[in-house]
Amino acid sequence: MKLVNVVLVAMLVAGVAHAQKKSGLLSQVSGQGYGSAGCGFGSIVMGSDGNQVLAATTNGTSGSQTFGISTGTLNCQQDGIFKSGREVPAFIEVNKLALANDAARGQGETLAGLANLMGCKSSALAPAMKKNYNKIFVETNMQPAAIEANINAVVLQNNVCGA
Amino acid sequence: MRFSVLTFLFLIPGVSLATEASAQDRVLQISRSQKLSEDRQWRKLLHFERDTFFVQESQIDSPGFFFSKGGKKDPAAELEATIVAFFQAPPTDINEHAQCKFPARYRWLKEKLKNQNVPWKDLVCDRYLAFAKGLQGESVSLVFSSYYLNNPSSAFGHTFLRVNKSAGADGQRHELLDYGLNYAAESDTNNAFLYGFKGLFGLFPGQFRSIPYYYKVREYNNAESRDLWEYELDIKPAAVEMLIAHVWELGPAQIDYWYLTENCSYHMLSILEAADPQVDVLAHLDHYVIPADTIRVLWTKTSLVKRYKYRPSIRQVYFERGKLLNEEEKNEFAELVHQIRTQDEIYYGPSFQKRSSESQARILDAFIDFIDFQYSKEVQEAGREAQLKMRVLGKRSEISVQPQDIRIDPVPEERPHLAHSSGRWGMGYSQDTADRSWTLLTHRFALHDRLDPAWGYPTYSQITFFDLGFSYGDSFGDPGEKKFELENFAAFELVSASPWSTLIPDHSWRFKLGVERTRNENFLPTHEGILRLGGGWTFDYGSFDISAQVQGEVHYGPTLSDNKLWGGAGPLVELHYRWNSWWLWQAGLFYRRDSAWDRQDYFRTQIETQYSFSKTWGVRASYRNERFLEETSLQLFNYY
Repeated sequence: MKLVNVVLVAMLVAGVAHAQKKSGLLSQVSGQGYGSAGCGFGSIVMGSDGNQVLAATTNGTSGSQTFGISTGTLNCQQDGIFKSGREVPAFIEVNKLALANDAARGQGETLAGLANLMGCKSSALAPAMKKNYNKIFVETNMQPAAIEANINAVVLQNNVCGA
Repeated sequence: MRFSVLTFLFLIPGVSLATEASAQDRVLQISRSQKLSEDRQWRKLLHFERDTFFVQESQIDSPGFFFSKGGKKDPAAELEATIVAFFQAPPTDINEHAQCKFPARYRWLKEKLKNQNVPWKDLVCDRYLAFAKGLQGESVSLVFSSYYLNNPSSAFGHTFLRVNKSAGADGQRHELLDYGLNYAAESDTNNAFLYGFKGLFGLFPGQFRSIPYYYKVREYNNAESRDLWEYELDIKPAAVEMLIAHVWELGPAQIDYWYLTENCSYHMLSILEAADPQVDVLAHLDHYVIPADTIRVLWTKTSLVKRYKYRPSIRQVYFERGKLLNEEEKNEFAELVHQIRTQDEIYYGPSFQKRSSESQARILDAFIDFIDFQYSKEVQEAGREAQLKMRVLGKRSEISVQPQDIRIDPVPEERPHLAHSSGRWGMGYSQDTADRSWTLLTHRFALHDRLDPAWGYPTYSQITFFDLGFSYGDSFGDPGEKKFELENFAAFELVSASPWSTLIPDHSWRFKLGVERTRNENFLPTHEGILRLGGGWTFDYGSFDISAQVQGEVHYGPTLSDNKLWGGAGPLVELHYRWNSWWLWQAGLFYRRDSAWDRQDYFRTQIETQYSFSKTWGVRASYRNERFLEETSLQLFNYY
């Protein structure tokens, strides 16, 4: 009877844990080859599947001081912290839906965060992005690098953010 | 700076080694005489705790975390070995030096010996410094991601820490740009059964990771529609630095992950205790650590929480935007919703075009959030809805009206830190129409059912984990005899009664896996393993809701006739009524056609009510009438 209980509990926990693994944002983001663009952030962070992550774990236990996300060789991060100048593409990659909403509405927390990362005032960036929404978000399935390039173009043309 | 230290060491190695050796001896001597290895914080830094099997040792399972061979079990030996390591000459990669790998231990030791004039040789650890600079926090918040009822994976919630940066150049805090510190199991299997088994028995390594907060916000608030509750803790900036230093030490370390004990919540608190001697929470927790419980304990038993903030899920934001619409705007909105369901293009008809810009903005803002909530997956995957949404955003960008600020302040009953405790004991009495009577004893490990005080848990859901019920009293077979019997065991029982509405056509469902004692006409009561699954709809009418579902079940009972394995299916109707948060009612009708019983179908009526005097005590009465049984019961519940 005791064994039966243990097995029952294990099964139900399995179901829960499995559901959790499946429904994460990660699987939605990483399933689309986002890894090839930007910093490959979405495909690397805290994944429970994929060799990159296991590689990171192995490094972490072999004694070298790597921390969590990092293998030390990623494009974007070292030791779980963004390298300087790499924050913007990673931010755009993970936040692109919310960023598009904010750009269309002309304000919002995500837009303010981006402005801060780009070192400019959101009161200057926001109206420029709203006005040029269609020039920034031209397709639905855009790579973050393309979004970033379009934002930079808008910033340059409109002479905002000290550009 | 780094260069100068290295030069110094290379030029006069003899002198420096001599002074270091004497400094090392002095530190060792002081640490012995002051019994520093018995210091609470030292033990916390080593994660020296009583573990799942009540053994006192460090919970860290990777040998690299210790300098002494016996360090896992011997804090004194580990302290001496650590001190020796601190005074070693730096290796080629300075980051591999003990000072750089264990900055929190180093800080702690220096602080303890600050009046002793020890000639410390501080190294410049560039990688650690980059890490500390990146996190760069002033304070710390414990973040709780709450349950979302249609997602059983969120059953217990999740907790992680967020290091709060100071305000940016614009004078504003940007929470999204903070870093979160997360502890989770590192899975190496896709097999669901193995996953659960290993999680429950500590067979996965757990790892700490730093993750940008915006990533967690997108994951929980947007993709899974779960609310986040951020509890800012009273941790001083110096302790925040210590916390970051300690997390750095744990970066490469491994701790076996135990689903119910040494889990995310446990280790968030354990690293807080290591960083700040003022923090003392683990001692208040039970052997099992449920994330929801830790929030309540922090709130009720410590003074650590300075303030809290609610970050609503996309679902809640959408609801709130919906409330801003007047009747006409709701009609326009419904028209847009109809179009996205049926058409490949959105048309804005004349009545929409005639509206004021403010009104158009309100409708479109609600519509945008609706798409994000309802088609979260499709939008992520750049499907049809994503294309339509992009054009809606284009339309919105042409309207120069600011969106309305959405501020949601959930009523006290919905705040997770005010929830009742999740463990529950019950004692009671029951009687049937044949004048048999029993004493009842129940115990539920977690978490909440729909008659418990309606505080802190979602109104529409029940999550029961390991509910055991026993009876002692009259035997069915032998009238003179008293017997002790298992009446009910629910390993896992879920009821998700999300209400259906035209805009959010959620289904409601239920699930139970366990053992029940069932009665029948010709045989003695018998124990059967039961798997029950139901689905349908719930309709919400304010203080009450009605669920209409179809339920199917499989029974397995070794002693029941020839049919050890049999099944049944049928409809159920259940009414749930909330007089207030303390007094709740539930009534149900269940019908089932069984494969094992051709003479009489199963029919059950049941009514239950619970009045809770407080979040600790409640009394529950129930009446049920089912095949071969009519029974009333009264129970006193204690939540602990």
